[in-house]
Amino acid sequence: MSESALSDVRVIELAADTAGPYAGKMLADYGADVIKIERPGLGDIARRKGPFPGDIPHPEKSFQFLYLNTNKRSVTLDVYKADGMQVLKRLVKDADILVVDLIPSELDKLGLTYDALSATNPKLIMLSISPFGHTGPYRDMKSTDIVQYAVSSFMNLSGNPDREPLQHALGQAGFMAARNGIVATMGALLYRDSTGQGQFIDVSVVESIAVQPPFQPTQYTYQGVVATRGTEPVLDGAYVPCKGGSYICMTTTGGAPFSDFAELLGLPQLLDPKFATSEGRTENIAELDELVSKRLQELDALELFHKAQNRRFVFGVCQTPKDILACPQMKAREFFQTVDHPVVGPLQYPGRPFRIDGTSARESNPAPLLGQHTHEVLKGLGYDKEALLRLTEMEVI
Amino acid sequence: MTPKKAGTEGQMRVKALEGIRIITVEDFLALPFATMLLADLGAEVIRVQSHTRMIPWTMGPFPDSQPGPRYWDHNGTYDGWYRNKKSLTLDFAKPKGVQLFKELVATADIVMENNRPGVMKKFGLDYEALRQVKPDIIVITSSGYGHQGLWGNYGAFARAIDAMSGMSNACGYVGEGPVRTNASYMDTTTAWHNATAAMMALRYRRKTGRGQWIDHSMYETGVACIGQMILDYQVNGRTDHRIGNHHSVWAPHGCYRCAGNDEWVVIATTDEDEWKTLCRTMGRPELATDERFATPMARYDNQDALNAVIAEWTKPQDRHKVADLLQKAGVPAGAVNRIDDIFKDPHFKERGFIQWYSRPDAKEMGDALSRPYFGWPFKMSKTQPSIESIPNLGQHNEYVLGTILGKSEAEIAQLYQEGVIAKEPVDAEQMRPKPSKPGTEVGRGGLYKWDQDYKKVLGLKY
Repeated sequence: MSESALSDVRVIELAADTAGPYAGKMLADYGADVIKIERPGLGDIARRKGPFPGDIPHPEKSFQFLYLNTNKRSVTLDVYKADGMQVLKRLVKDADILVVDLIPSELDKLGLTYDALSATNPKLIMLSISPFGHTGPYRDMKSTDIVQYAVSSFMNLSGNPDREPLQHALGQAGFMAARNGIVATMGALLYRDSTGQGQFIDVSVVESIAVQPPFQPTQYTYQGVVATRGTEPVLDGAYVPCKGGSYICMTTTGGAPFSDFAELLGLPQLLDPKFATSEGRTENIAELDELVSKRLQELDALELFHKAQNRRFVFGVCQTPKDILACPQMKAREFFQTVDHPVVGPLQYPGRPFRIDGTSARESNPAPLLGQHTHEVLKGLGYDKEALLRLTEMEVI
Repeated sequence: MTPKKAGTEGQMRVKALEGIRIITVEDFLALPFATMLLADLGAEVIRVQSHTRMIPWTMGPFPDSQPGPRYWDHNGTYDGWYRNKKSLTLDFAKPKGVQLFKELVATADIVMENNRPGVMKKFGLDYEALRQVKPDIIVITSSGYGHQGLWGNYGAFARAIDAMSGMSNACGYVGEGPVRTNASYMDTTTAWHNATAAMMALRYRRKTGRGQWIDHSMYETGVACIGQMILDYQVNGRTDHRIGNHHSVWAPHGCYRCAGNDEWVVIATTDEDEWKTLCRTMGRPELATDERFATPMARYDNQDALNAVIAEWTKPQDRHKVADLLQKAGVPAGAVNRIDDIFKDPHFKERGFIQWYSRPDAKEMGDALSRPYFGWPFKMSKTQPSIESIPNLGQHNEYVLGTILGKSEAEIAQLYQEGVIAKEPVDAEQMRPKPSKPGTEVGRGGLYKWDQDYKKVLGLKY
């Protein structure tokens, strides 16, 4: 195996759905050997969540599972059976990192505490991701993504001010918790490199979401101002429909003169002195918004985006997956990589969010089939053929 | 590097990244937030900034909305992201500024920057130039679309990337247009990746002896948030599936209005027991056998009608009371909090998520003696961060130039005189912001209220 940032690191992932698996994926995609523990028969719950090809459920065809589990190995193991727990403990004993997403009370019940695990492996780094963390009065509160969003206060900032707050799509809470957990884990790994000491990391999903909005905390603690959802002006951030129904997001605050904006849009009416100053534009905002919105319906969003960038206006276009897959910048940087899965076939996957030497930029192994590596991994622990047969019959693996 | 105990006032802490030196040339937000995390973990992060460019310091929020005598040093936005860093001023427009930067890079492990692509090259400070100075240097550039590729000179803000990356396209109310995730999500997302990239590159260098240039693109980080939709499009041809606050399977699952102005509660059932408990708790046990709602499939198909029934129940009630009642009964629910709720909530206090920091010069600035900030969503058993300092502009000029680079006092004095370094912005007085009244802004631009009792609520002391 080539030398990469994490090529000497073994990770045991006892996690499902988004948060733990994305943390595992970050480690696996940059070279770690990640062994994913799945329930015999059912596997990661993401295997049962859509979307699927043709909307026909199949445990090897969930797009969420395929995306979040590249470069891992899958071992089926019933950790609620004594022999299964025995196997898990033997795996953890030789591991560098354990990623778990069980709630704290469940970890206690299973005896998967850092004290117990580090007794046999003091170098272990244990990343525990749970909704509210291991301490505090909400530790055992029931929750799902949307509850975590609500409690974090981020949900209140998202959506239309006249409507109900809106959660973010596609399990972003889990993505945030995973990214935050990986920063702590990498810090812990570098610390362990120097000292030989592992440690326990307690990540709260709610705090992972809460910590994202950057301005709102000090607006409150310095001024007493409490933020909520807002409406953006047409000229500064609103999504405005263009020709063909694409949406453009414009900003005029990047420093380029407003007269350039008039020229960019081909709207000489904007050169009227009443729009020349920002005070004037605020005063006449309704007229301005109408002029601009109407003109945008005649313009192609992506063409306008490029023209704007060349005049140093920062614009964006609401792109769909179709647009992104066809995007010349994505192609020029070879961001997407073809991953050939034995059941689903070859598809273009988003590549690593940053490229780093020693880790292939273009190749990835597909997500594992359920239990694909059970025998290989258990044999490595010294279980022989007969033992594997018994474990299978007892539905441990 | 041998981690050692670092002394701070009244406590000792062990730092994960002790001995690592990071130089950062940064502006809004995807990088400052990342280098903050690295400084929190114990790296020595030296923020190099020009005192000739005023823009970032004028935005506030200022204590009580009053720009103080050194308003650029008491500024909530930057206080939030400067913590634990060191501040060096350098004017890159002067050759000496560029020269000193190179001398500093020769002592560093990592250089990070998020200027518009091309800016550092213009000063002769791109990766190729810096590796001449330090062959194993790690350089991380963070920009909207990456330096390499066709769009290398394009600028970006978080909101533009939210749109471009397909994130907005995935978010929104059922049957309506795209909605931005808001609150600079794409910036902070990129920030966590920037910090991770730095630590991975450090580990790679430790193993191989080699540095490298990592050219990070916000756009790509954004697309990494919607991976399953990229796969789905290729097979199913779908370009959007906005489901708002619905769950893909379970109902009821949504956000319901409560008593008051813009007060909401979320309720999310995920099995039969929780549904039946919800019916009992609402005092509507008959709903559980109503044929429109009797099975999960029926509830999913009739969720609009069901949501209307639930909203009728929540509407006259307090959001926290509804959430507590349901939680006690065993139904996942939560009040939609606002920012002030987080500072008041005992859970976040008890976990140490709220961290207080006292500025040494608070009293002379007439500021509160101590203020609360958000801490970390992680708790590390051996190397937990703390807020040790928030630097003033140029506070570490003497340390960096004298202690690290060995310049004499006379040389440093000369640099001040020539304007290569400074302790205040050149146009501090011309640009001085006017005191604002936050109360007049409420109702516009996403401001909910001005809580004039906030000092009492937070327990600020003067």
